[in-house]
Amino acid sequence: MDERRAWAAGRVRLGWGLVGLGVVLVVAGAIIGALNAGDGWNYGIIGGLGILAAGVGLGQVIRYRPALHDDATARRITVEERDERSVGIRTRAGNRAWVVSALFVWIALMWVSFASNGDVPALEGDLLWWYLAAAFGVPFLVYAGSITVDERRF
Amino acid sequence: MKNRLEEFRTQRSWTQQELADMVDVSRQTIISLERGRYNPSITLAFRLARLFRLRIEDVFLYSDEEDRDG
Repeated sequence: MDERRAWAAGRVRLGWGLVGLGVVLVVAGAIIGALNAGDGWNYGIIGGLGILAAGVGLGQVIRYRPALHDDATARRITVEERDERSVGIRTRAGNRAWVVSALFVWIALMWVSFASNGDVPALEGDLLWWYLAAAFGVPFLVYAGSITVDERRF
Repeated sequence: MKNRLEEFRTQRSWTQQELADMVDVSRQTIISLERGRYNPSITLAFRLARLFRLRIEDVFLYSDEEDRDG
């Protein structure tokens, strides 16, 4: 039981660390933006990353904190996260998603190369947005689909 | 890989959840093991065999033919 709680405590510490990092980034982004106002750059992206980090960190804290005080919850959470069959299924799904993601990046590299010669339209504007959306969404679908199939298969 | 997990579990009147709790895996893993859909890691196989006070070969039935057929 102590090992499970220690593992959960580590996750909670990581969560609080991410929250702290998020706060730092938000403040830093605001300060940098104020100091460099008018230089044409929008430093809101720094604050946006900070909000993302804080959100992920808060999610970790909310998920793992109950495990610190209750043995049954600690057991349930650690089994969900560390069950070898589940870990194997998620690993396979991640590998497949990575292959698809790498394919998207390779295609984009080829596209940019050909576009520089004028052989294909440049990857910009709406086309770029849709391409990036696909590069994010398709690997995620592959990941989710792989998990769904393997949960039934194994 | 075929195994006698369900046989040994039911002999002891353990539920799948109880067995899962004893070896620190999910109930779904026990279900998949008993149906022969999932092969355990060597560590899990040892934990299960020791729980039943048996050898691994008594619980998990390795077959060359099955291994070749994948």
